[in-house]
Parts: sequence; C-alpha cells; structure tokens
Amino acid sequence: MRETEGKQEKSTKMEIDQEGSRINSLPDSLLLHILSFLEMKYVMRTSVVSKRWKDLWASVPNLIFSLSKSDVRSEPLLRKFMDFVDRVLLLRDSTTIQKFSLAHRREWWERPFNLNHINSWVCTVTKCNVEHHIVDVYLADYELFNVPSSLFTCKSLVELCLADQVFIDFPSSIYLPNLKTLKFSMIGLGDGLNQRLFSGLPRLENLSIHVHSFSDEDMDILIDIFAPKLREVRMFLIAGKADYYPNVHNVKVLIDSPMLEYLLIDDICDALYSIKNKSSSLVKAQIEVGPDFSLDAGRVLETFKGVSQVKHMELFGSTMRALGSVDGNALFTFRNLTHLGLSYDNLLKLPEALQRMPILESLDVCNWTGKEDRSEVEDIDLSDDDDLSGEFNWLQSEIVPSCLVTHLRVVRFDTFEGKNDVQLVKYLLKNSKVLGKMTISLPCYLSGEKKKFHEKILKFPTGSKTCQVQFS
Amino acid sequence: MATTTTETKMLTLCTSDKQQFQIEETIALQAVTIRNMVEDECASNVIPLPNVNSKIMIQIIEYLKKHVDSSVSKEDMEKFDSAFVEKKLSEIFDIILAANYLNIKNLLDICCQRVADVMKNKSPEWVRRTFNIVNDFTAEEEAKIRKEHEWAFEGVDED
Repeated sequence: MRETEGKQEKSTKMEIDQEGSRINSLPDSLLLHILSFLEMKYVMRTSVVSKRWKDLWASVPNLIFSLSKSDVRSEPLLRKFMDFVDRVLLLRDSTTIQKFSLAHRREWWERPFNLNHINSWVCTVTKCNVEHHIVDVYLADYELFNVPSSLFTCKSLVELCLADQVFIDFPSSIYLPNLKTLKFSMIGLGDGLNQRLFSGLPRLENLSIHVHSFSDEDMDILIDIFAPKLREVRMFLIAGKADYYPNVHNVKVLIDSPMLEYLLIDDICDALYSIKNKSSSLVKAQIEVGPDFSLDAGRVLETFKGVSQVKHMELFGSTMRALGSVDGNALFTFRNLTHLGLSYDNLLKLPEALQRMPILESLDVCNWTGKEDRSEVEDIDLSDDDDLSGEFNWLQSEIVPSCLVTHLRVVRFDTFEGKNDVQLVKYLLKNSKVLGKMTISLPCYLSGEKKKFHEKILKFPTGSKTCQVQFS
Repeated sequence: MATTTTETKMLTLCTSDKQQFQIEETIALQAVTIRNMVEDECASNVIPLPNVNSKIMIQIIEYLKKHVDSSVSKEDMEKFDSAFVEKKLSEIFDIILAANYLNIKNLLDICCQRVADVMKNKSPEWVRRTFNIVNDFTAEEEAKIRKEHEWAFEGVDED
C-alpha cells in the first residue's frame, strides 16, 4: 500500500517536471516574449537560473518597475530600488524600449522618490523610441515634477500616462504623431490645453485629464479640445473650492470631435461644457456635477444639449437636480436614449426629466454611496399606511412621461434606502404600462423584515399586466 | 438550414501528422501566416502546416472560432481567454510555438502571459525546478549576479 502511494507521488512529480521542461525548447525570442509580461524585478530573478537565461533580461523590450507601499518604508530598500532602475537602464543592450512603466503608490507621509532620478529615467527612456510611457508616481503637493519637454516631441510614443499630480508646462512645440492615448493628472493648469496642443496630436483617440488645481494667474480657463480621431474623453475637473484655495475660476471646456463615442465628466468646478459631435457618434455619457452646477441655467442647457444624442447615460451626484432644473418646456429631447442610470440623490425632478426621454427602455437606480450601516440611512418605510410625507411626493405627481406608457420595460433598484424610494417604486409601478420586470435588491441590514417589505410592495397597484417584481 | 446562393468559402488545413481540417476561410484568415499564403496565392486547395500537430490544431481552431464572432462582448471574450489558458504548461508551450508560427498575436500574448503569471514573484530555485532548467553556474558566479541586482531578490514568495 505504502509503495503504491510512493509511486503515485513520484509519477505526478515526473509529470510536473515534464510539463514545464518544454520551455527549454523555446527559442530566445519567445522566452523574451514571456519575460516581457513580467515586472523587471521578476525578469532579473531569472538571470540566475542558468547561463542561457543570464543575459536575456537585457533584451526585454518592456521595462515595468513597481514599488509597493511596504517596500518604501525602509530607506535602504528605496536606495536599492533606485540603483536597480539606474543599472537596468544603463546596462540593457537593446536600443528601443516598447514600454516603460514606473508605479509607486505611497502614503503621503512616506518618503518620495528623488525627482531628479525620475526626470533622468524619463529622459533616458524617451531617447529609446519608447512607445508606451507610463509614469504613475504619487508625488506630494509641494514637489513639482516638471515633465521634461523632450517627451513632447517623441515620435514613437503611442501611449503616455502621467500621474499623479504632475506639473506640466506645455512647451511651445509639441508633436507626437503616433500618440493614441494620453492620460495625465496635473496641477496648476493654465491655458495649456488648447488647439495648438491638440493639433500636435493628430492621431489621439483616448484622452483622460485629471485637473487638481488651476494656475493662480489665470482666472478664466479655457480647455479647448479639437481632435478629429478622438473616441473617448474622460474629464475630471476636481479642483476643489477649499479654504486654502479661495480662487474661483471661470472654466470653459470645448470639445469638438466628430468621432466621439464615450464621454465622462466629473466636475466640481462648475465648468461650462460645450460639446460638438458633428456626426452624432456619441453613444455613452457618464456625468457627475456638484450642487452649484445648476445655478446657471445656460450652463446646464449647453452641457446637456451636447450629449442629447446618446443611447446610454449615467448621472451621478447633483446631475439629476441640474437636469430637472431646465425649463419644463423642453428645448431638447434625448431622442436616442434607451438606458438611464441614476444615483439616489436628487430624484426630485425625475418625472420631468423622463418626459424628455421618449424611448427609454431601461432604468437603473443605484445607491452609489455604498452605505451599509443601518444607522447611517433613513429607515425604509414598512408601515401599511400611505404615508405621503416624503420629501418628494411621487404619487401626487400628475406627470406621466410617455416613455412609461410605451417603452420602459426594465427597472432595477440596486440597494434600496429611505422612504422616497418606496414612493418611487409605487409611482413607477402605477404609471408604467409596458413594464416587464422590476428588480429590487434590498440592503443586507434589513434581513428580518424583508418579507414584510415584499408584501408591502406587492400590494401596490400596477399599470402593466405583465409586470414581475423580483427581490434579491 | 437554408442553403444560400453564396456558399461559405472553406479552407483545408493539413497538420504535421497528415490530418486535414476543413474550416471557414474567415476563421482561418485570423492567422496572419495563413492569410499571407492565401493572399500570395501560393496556397492551393490544401494548406500544409508542418509545424502544428492535430492535437494543438483542434485547440487553435476552438480559439479562432470564438474570436471571429464579433457579437461576443469584450468581457465575455476575456472570460473565454482566461478559461482557454487553463491548461497544462506543456500544452501552453506547444500553443505558444504554434501561435508564433501561425502569427496569431493575441493567442501568443495570452499564453505567454499565462507562463509569466506562473513565474511571478517565485525564487530562481522554484523556476529551475518547475521548468526543469539545469543550473550551470558555479556558486561564486551565482552569488555575483545576485549581488549585482540586489533589489530583484527582495521579498521572494515562499515556495
């Protein structure tokens, strides 16, 4: 018995050995291809396995370096890491670099990189016809990392990602003829994002901009994006109006792109967005604005007009309030919109907003705040009486948007909270004539009372004969 | 199935062990090597693939059939890919060689990624054992290399 077990063990081990040994029949070019998916740290470890592997690292085209939080706490380790990157860049023998990636996520109190080092690495890599340049280094606010200007004339560059919070003084001459993806996270933005910059990026398809603060000198900021091949834009204007940052900037964003398909706006600066998309190619928009955005009706109107042709729209923060604030005599309709996603905040004007969405088929209402503790949220009303004292009285609303009568088939509530939502469910069930399915996922703290809640909801009158309500 | 006037164009692929595979041309042309042969018209009715055996060919066809389907969402395709590479390493290496020969970039990438994932954060000793690599360094030589790139050997996973 013991002997058989031994044999079995031996044969599985043999199998494993044979399984992996095939690697030795691969040519160097394929070993390099495998190594190009590994961080340089692990690539370098393979240099001691045998003489064949000793120098392979020097020809790997992708240089991926990352330093985890725990690595940084010790000063000698940080120095070893810096030496390592220096040596790899100095001793590698291939002249081109396909991808350079440097990631260093640290806590603010931890010791940062020496910026001179990063600067010299970026310059060295730029000289090696790099295609993908990714520098993801968390720098403290008080350190300005000036992006070397040689980066902006690197002809081979396809992807450029610069994070976190770098200071970019855009040079007067910018030409990146192959750049398709540009992502950066910057501080102190002035008028640098203008047509002159974008004319030097003729193949740009994907743009993502985080602006953490604006320049102190310019009070009027214009971001002027004109890019003929641009498909995806992500705009994070998250320069806060804090006490230590008293200047309120007047920000205007112009996007002119005939091929735009996806737009994300995350704005707390109350910027005006003016979007031109000649061929109506825009399919999806995700928008989040702050509470003061709706103070200027012209701004709200202009922004929503620019995205009015989308099929899929998701609104967060105070965006619903802004949309609802536009005059009821709709100046535009979302004529293609079939899917709408909403956060729970500010559903006050929902019926008014739905009136502008004649072919809406599905509606998602989600609790994006992610509250899990019952003490944080308003109780769900489980009583039997029709308490209509909620903040907004959905049942009294006389408006029945046409999409409820003809198109809305699927409604999904993701994590319910508060009595207003119960009223919204009641309103939708009563007025939706073609609704097929409503899914409600209840918060976990409600465990014991779920049944009572189900019964309450199922008693509501339904306008659609085919409607199914499901709980999860 | 209803017959249409325009018939789907088929190609016959012949593997190293003389097995023949009839597949739709659109599926086969995802392999750049086959596409070049067809475009250069050096391929007659039967395309010989002397570097690929039938066992591997069946798996490659499974992959190509999935990837030709434009209705599959990006997410589902990624799910398919990650399930596809859940194979024995010996098979992965055979597919790497075949994908390289047939020039199917994404297939080559996902298989190489799979091998790279196995090596991630492992010690050199573990890599030698797993891939049956003979250490031909002297102890002094090995120590010297380790010293040169000290940082690379910090924080190795337990075997």
